[in-house]
Amino acid sequence: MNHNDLIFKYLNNKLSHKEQLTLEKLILTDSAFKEELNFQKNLKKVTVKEDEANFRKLIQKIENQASSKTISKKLFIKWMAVASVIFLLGLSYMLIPQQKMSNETIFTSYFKPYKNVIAPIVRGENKQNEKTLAFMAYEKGNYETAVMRFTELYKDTKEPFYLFYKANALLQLERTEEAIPLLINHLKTKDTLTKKTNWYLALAYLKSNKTKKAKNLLKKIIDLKSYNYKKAEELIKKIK
Amino acid sequence: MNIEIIKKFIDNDPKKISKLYNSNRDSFLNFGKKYGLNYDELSDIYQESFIALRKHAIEGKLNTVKSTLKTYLFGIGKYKIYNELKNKKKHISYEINLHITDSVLPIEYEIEKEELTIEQQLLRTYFKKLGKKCKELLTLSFSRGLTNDEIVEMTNYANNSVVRSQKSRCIKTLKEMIKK
Repeated sequence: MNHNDLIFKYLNNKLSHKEQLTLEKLILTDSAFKEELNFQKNLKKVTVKEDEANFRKLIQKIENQASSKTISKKLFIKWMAVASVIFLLGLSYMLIPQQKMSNETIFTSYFKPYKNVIAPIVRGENKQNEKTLAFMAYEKGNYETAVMRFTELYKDTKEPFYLFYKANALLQLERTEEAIPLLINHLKTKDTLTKKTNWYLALAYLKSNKTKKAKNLLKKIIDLKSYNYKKAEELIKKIK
Repeated sequence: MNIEIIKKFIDNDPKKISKLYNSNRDSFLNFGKKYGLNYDELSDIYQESFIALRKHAIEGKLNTVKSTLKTYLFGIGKYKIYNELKNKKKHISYEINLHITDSVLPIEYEIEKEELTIEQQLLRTYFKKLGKKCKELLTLSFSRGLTNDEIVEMTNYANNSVVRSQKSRCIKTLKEMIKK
C-alpha cells in the first residue's frame, strides 16, 4: 500500500492491525513520512474546522428563514391555505406548455431498450444457442433472464456488446446504479455500439439524479452530433 | 440509520439539508417546550443539535445506530436541554418534577473545545487562499473522508486518477504557499 493510502486510512480510522504496525514502524524510521503524516493530520483538522464553520453559516441562514416563517405562519396560515391552492392552480395552468419535467419523467419518456441488432431472431430457424436465448429473452421483455444470460455470456466471451445490452436491460428494470458502471466500461471498448452508449449513460445519470453529469454528457452528444443528438437537444431543455 | 440520510450530510446539498432541518424543527420546538425553555433557547439548542448530528454522520457514528434520525436528533437535543437546565441551576430531577414522560433517551455528545495550534491556524489561512476547486476537493477528501472513487461519484472528475493527481497538486500548492 502506498504511503498516501496508509495516511488516508489512518485519518479515517480504517487501519487494520497490520497496517497500524506498518504505520508505526514508518513513523520511527522514515522522517519524510512522519512529516507528511503530520501535515495531513493538520490539514484534516483545518478542513474539518472550515467545513463546520461553513455548515454553521448554512444552518444559521436556514434557521433565520424558518424563524421568520414561524412568526408570520400563525397569522397567515388559513389565508395561505386558500391562497396557495388558487395560486398553484393558476400557476400550473400557465406553466403547462413549457413545464420542466422531473428526471424520473424524462427518463421514462425517453428511455427505450436498444433494439437487438446482434442476434436477429427469425421464427422457426434459430438454433437454441446461448446467445439466441439471451436475445430472445431480451426481445420478449424477460429482462431478468436476459441480465443473467448476458452476464454469463460476457464472462465466457468478453464480447463488449453484452455490457451494453445488459445495461439496457438493467435500466429497464430500474437497476440504474448497476447499469452505470457497465456503460462506462462499454465506452472504453471498441465495440461498434459505443456510439450509442453516451445516450444511454446520460439517461442513466438522469434517472439517478446525477443531473450535472447527465447534462455534460448530453452537451457532448450535441456537440459531436452523435447518436440521438436531436433528442438530446430537446431533452436538455426539459431538465431542471 | 438509513444510509441515504447519512449521505445527505456528506453531500451537503443546501436544499436537502434545509429540508431535513425544517422537517424536524417544529416538532422539536414543541417537544422542548415542556422543559420550560423559551423559543429562542430552544431554537439555539435545535441548531446545535443538528450540527452535532451532522458531525456524527460524517464521522461514521450513525452507521451502526438503529434508531431513526428524528429519535437520534431529539436525543442529542434532550442532552442539550438538560445541560441548559443545569446551567440555570435547576437542580431537580426534571422528568419527575415536571411530570414529563417521553421515550427519548438523551444522547451525550462532546463539544470540541480543542483550539487549532498556531501551525494549524497558519495552515487554515493558506487553505482559505486556495482556489475554489482545491478547497472543495480537499474538503471532500479530508473533512468528509471520501475515497477518490466516492469523489468521482459525486463530482465531475472523470476518474479516480484525475482526483488523485488533482489532490496532490492542491497539496503541493498549499505546501509551496507555506514555504514562501
